Amino acid sequence: MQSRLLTETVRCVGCRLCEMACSLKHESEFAPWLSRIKVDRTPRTCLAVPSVCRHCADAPCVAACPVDAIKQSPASDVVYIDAVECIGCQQCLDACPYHCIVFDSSRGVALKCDLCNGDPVCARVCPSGAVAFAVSEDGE
Amino acid sequence: MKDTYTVRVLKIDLTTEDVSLDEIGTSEALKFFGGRGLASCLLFRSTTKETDPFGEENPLIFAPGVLVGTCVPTAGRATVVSKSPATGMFMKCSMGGHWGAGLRHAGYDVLIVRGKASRPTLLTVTNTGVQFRNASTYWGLDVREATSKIEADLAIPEVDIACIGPAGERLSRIAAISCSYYHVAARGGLGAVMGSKNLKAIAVHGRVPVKVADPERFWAVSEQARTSVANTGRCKFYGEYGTAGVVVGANAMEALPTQNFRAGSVPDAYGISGQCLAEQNYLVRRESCMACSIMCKRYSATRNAYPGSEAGGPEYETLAALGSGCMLMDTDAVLKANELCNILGLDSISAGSVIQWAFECAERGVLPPEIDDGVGGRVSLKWGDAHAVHTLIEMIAYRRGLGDVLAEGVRRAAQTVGGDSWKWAVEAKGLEQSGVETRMAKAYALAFATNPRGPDHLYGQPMAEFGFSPEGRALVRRLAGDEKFANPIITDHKPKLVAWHEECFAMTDSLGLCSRATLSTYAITPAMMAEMLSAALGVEMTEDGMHEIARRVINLERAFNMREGARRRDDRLPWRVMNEVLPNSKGIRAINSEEELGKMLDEYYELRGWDRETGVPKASTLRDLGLDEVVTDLGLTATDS
Ligand code: SF4
Ligand code: SF4
Ligand code: SF4
Repeated sequence: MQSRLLTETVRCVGCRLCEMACSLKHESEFAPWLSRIKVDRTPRTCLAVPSVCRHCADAPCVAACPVDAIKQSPASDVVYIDAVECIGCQQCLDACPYHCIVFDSSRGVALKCDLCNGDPVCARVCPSGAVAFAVSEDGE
Repeated sequence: MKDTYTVRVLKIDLTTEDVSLDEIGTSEALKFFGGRGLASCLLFRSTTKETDPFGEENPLIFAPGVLVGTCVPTAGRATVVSKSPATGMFMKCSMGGHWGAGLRHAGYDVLIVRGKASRPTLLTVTNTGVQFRNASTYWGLDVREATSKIEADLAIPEVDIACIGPAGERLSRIAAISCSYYHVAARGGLGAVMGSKNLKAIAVHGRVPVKVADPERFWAVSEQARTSVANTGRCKFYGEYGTAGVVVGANAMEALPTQNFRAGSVPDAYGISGQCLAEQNYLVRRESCMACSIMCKRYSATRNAYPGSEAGGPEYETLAALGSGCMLMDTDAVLKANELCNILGLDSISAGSVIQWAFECAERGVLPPEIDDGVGGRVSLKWGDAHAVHTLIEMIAYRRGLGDVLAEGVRRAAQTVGGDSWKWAVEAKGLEQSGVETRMAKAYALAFATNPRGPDHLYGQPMAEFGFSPEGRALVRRLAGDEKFANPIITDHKPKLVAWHEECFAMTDSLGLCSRATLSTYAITPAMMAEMLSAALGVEMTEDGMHEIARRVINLERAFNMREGARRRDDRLPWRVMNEVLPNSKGIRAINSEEELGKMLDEYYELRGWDRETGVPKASTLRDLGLDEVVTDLGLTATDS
């Protein structure tokens, strides 16, 4: 069984609830810059674009990591970072075509979406449906 | 009380470029909630009766609510307080957008700006320090140009900017502060206070996390609040149509101020409604302030005229003031007017009000029917004239020709123009009335009269009286004992309703929530707010405790005005609504008579523990609330009770 977060940019209202829920869940505090989902805002035109990890089938970040700290779960396809093994080289940040990996400079580790173990809080709090959780049997 | 919460107050003096930090502990901060309440207290303490709103000594205080930067729905708002150049009294405004969160991420909870810079200044407040930058190249630019240029020049990702336009620079008493481009601290001329300090903009940015005492408990209450917002019909309505969605209903109830409050409805309000914006593709996209799941904000564009005109909004108030108020029913033209107020930095309510008044002055022969626009053209002061509305907005912002008079606000303008023109200057305390026809809504009438800002909706907002929603009717049942009192044209139990709403508003502002969640829809209750505070700050707060703090805040803000000399006589409504019967088709003799308002005031003062004759809070009331310092400031003696 595979699951994905789907984003629909036109719906996003730029409330950043997704970022705050994600950071509370993973950091136990509100630090939206450490959120694994990122909302790019253009206040001048009230435009906001969410982006979040696609858990790519052939993930470039997995390939880029020199110490194999990024792994893909064979059962769920979830791409995750093993924080203990991460050496903070930031190769994955460059490799991700969607700019969906964040770097926590205070701890010197890369952080990325782990789909919240199947219960993504970002999708749960998103009021507009701009981020939605889709589970499919066949991987699509 | 456990010291779990420290308010960091950043104090900046523009004259000396001194920067300092005060830290206020939990018990002192929570005496006033920490947000708006604390800001009001700091304002009270740092001003006197002699403080000139445009003087260096008048502080401009920004206080994001206590929960700003967290995930509870609508927790994104910042209060701004100062002594108002419009009223000479207490003023608080609330602004949405993302600026308040930016200040908290920079590491501060309250920002106090004093003094006057010797040159146009841009202040940057980040977690790495405060900088005073030369803003000469931004001075003169409108809000949109200046904000864009500052964003580009600072090159700080995700910077948020509060900025004034030409109106604030020229000390228009109806100038606003705009944050994140389109979110305004609109009322009472606070943009001009910023202008008087030579302060063009304040940019904020930082990476200081916002922490809560009990993350799990906090998550639980935020989920509860989010679910409530998602399931409340009125919240869905605001998400769908914005505040502009209210226009049609207000018109049907004859509560949509029309033609300078001469009527309460127009034949067809569709053209200036949120429904029209959405259905006719004026709406470019929906937006939301920080952390808000209601999503009432809009970004709209003109379609058939004024190509390239786009802006945030329009809001209900803007449509009432510049649309039906000016008899301008053309959608494109109203959107253009909204954009002009947005970018020139004007309060659209007050701008609409002075323009309506000017049209009426011309109609009644107190002003000429046609005037110079100050740059070689002519303007006809005619109801519904789009060119006139647009040109007057520019004239006000740049203080050109008649605009110089109108920029002073309608009370002062009437003093200049003279004759009977004060009678159709729809203001009280010096503030233009916002877009509710109070003759058809008695709780609103009382709330407008007792509002220390002047007659507007952002201090009490007793929406429940209309009986629109099950949530509102339930509240009326709870407060008045029966749902039948959810009826706008009766006066019974209205003082109780008003007092509750004022208190709920004080909590809402202080926590940094939006009144759209707590008052206009009743999705978030005071009990939920108490739980939010408890979980966030590690204190145990109850609903009753919240009301008590709110009463303290309200009494303190009241005391500010009393110190200025305000009394019961100032708790009134514009002459027109108290003396002219509203023509309406409902067969109701709608007026806010002296007698009717007087009765409600008696009852309201009694409830509040204020002196019936003067309206001054009694010494015993203040002492019960722990406001002993205020007792002395008001010159009350220990034996006053
Ligand atoms: S699924 Fe979880 S980890 Fe991934 S972005 Fe959403 S909240 Fe963050
Ligand atoms: S929660 Fe949804 S609407 Fe809000 S910023 Fe995130 S993606 Fe956009
Ligand atoms: S309800 Fe509207 S004004 Fe209030 S916070 Fe949400 S988007 Fe902003």
